Amino acid sequence: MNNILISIEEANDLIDSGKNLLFAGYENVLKQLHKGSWIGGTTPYFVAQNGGELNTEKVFVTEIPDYISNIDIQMMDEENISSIFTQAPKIGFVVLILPTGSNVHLKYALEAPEFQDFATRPIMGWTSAVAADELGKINAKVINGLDCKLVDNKAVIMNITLPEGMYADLGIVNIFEQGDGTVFKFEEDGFSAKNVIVDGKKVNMANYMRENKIGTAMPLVADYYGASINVTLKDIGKEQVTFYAPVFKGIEYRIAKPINNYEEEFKKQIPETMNNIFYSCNCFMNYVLGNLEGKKTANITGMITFGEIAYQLLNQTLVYLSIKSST
Amino acid sequence: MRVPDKTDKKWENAISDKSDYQLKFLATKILLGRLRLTYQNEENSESLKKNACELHDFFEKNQHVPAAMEDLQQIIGG
Repeated sequence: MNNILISIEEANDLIDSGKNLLFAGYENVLKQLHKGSWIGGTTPYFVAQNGGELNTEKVFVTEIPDYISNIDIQMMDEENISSIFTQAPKIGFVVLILPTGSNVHLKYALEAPEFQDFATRPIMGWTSAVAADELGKINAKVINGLDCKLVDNKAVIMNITLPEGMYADLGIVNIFEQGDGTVFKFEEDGFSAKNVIVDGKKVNMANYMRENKIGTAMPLVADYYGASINVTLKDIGKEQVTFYAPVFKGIEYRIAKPINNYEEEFKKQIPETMNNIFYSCNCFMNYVLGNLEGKKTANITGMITFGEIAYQLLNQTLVYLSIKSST
Repeated sequence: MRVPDKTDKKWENAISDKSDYQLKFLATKILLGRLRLTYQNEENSESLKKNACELHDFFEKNQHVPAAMEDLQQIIGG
């Protein structure tokens, strides 16, 4: 049973058998899991074995292979999250789950690229979510299976050490690419911007977006040597524009080209040969804007999240991790 | 391939020049983008040394990853 939705009873059988596991599920489901060697986060949305669905009764499971050398579970907060790359296993990877909206989430989103040893070890993860009709009413949470306490103010991590000769390959599938329009450059890092540089001139970004009839449906996209990195627009307010991930000073962003059919785009960009995915997540905005309910993202299953992590926080991106042989 | 010593000037060249690459490993793409941007924003010799050193450390720690070593070949050459 791997990367599928299973019943609480099936999940507890796996936990009780001593397996190392990763879970994603609705808060009331995670609460019913037994103590054991696992971590998890809240979300009721998945693209699972039957396609996209909202499910508040089952739990999404990822089994960690028996051949791994070691696992280590820790809770981290805004005081020590900056050591995440330094403390990661030399051969292996880290699964990180951040509670959306927490201080540790904001710290990681804004400062991870400045953390010591950034990107030297694979950090793959996601920010936990809640149902759309519960937004603002309850907080997204994470859980450490060793004590089964759900928390909204700390991150949970699992360090997974692989045997010599293996490595973790962390990748992204981003169906968006930069459009041909305006280049936006920001003067400061942040989750919001009042001003932006457009064609060398400083302008009020909210006014510019309104005047040019640019909405929030398409993300800003930066090009990092061929890797398209998105920042989703949250709101175009009276004075400023807010984002779901930070924009960074000096980077050139453009609004993405429109997408006609999200399901088809994922199918195009995910090779059929890509079938050894260990763990994956995709963005809630892709789920909603792409009407992914009942639909598949090629052969990749995973949880739907409020933010995806591949070294740094991403938006509107499918993130996956494969375990491979070095030889 | 062998990772050149930290003192090799090729590391500083990789940060300061504007060469484009067809990189394979996601971490190389993200890290090189950030290191070059940091240097562009600061543009001083201390920043060049610091970012070159980070690039070296990245490849030294990823010698077991074939795609990283292919990227190194492009960036640093034989």
